[in-house]
Amino acid sequence: MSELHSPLSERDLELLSAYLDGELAGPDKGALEARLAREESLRVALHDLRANRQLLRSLPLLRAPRSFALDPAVYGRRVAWWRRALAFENAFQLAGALGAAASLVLVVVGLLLVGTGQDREAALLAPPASPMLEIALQPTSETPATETPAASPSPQALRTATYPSPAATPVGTATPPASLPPAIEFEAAAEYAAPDMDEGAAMLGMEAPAGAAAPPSAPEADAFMPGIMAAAPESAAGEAAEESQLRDGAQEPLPSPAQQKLEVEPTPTGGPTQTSEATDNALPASATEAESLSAASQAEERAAPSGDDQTGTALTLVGLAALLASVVLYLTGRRRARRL
Amino acid sequence: MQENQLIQAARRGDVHAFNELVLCYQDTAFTVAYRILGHPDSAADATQEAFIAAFQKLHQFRGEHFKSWLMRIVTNACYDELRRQRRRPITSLDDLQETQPADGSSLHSHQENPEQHAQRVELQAAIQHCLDALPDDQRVVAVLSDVEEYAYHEIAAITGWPVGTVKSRLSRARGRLRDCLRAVRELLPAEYRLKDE
Repeated sequence: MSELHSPLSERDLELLSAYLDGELAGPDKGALEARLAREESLRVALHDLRANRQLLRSLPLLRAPRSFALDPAVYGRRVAWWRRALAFENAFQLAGALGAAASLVLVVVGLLLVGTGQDREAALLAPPASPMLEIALQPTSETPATETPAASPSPQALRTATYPSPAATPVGTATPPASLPPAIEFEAAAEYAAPDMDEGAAMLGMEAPAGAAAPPSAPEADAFMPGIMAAAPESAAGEAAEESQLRDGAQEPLPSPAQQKLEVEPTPTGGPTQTSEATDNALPASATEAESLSAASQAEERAAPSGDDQTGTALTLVGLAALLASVVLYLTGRRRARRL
Repeated sequence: MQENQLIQAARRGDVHAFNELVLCYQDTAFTVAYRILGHPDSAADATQEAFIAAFQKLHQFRGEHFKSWLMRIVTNACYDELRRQRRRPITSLDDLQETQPADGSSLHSHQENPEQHAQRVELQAAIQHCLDALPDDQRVVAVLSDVEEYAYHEIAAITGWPVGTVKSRLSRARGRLRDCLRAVRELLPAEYRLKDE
């Protein structure tokens, strides 16, 4: 009797309990069955455990003392849409859909920014396409010196370059016809100054792209875009022009716009009529100013598009990554909802 | 209406559909709560809390067996009730008067005489007393395994414990129950008498 009541070890008790529930398998089961065949105390313990389990299982199912049904007046209202939307699996789908929409907006904005930057660069690089500009820029046959503004002016002519005041108009520059709108005049001036841009950029230590056109030269900018010049008085253009001025050492008073109007009379063919001498002397001077100021303008113009490009590219990449993550999130939520 | 349809309707906020589920499972839920808590009022409170929680958390139901999911909520409600009792132990007048527990004795009273009925009630009270003497975790696993007949993996899912933990706690609970029930052997029917008697 005392042998039968000998306390079981915890290990034996666990083995017997698992064996009773059919949860013992493999070598443990075989070893326990071998021991059960040999040891009566184990058999008694197994019998006790089985009897106790039977006792517990014989306990009746209790009847609930009352109904636990929920009161529809308290709990019967419909679940708010936002609570259902924020349910676990729905929240995944909602977040995924919202994230995808936001990502698409990011991508579109990024692409627009990249496109804007490319348009600006293209506008800088491309020659003017408007036939009106061609007409406006067409020098008259009487001014052969102005036909080749791309030709490098002689050093002597360069020395005549002056830094004009914002209100001054250089003598001898190809003034567009008065009938052209200011914007066209501005572009025409830009075309005139283009060939000299590379030298101006080189003066500023900038790298000039091949065939790059320049923004309007300084005189034209002064004459037609006083607002722009006034907006950047301390810009590199001023420094470049001052360098040019120090090199040349001489200044010539420039005629006022009124004087220039007297000198340049528009012809019926649209081109300005100028004297050859005025063109010979003044064009190189204005070209030198143009190259310095156009380089500065070019630097400013290039700075802005590159920033837009970088921002746009970054936005596009971030948007694409967020789009991918949102799709994964949405699909995860959808799979979880289907599992329900 | 099928159980899945009731669940879907209840998830949409249909409390009447949920009450159909309550009627299906309230006896089982109350029984588990009573076996764990050992007191009908506490068991009723825990059962009610469990059904309210189940209705509110129904959107978290992932499609596993609804009864097992409900039993997990009932078990958690019982743990909450046990913690509450430890913080503020209460003794009701019913306890002082040793009133009859909600043991469902009427379900078995068709063919037994009063003496047999009294003996059966006393036996059930003794078993419940032995269950009450177990530590909480062992009592929970003993109720789920030996009273409700859940498999180990189901108990692991309900309690959130690993299967190995379930196994070891169950074996310890059975060892304690064996010692406790030996003390009340005179109440046991002949077929349940332990072999050494």
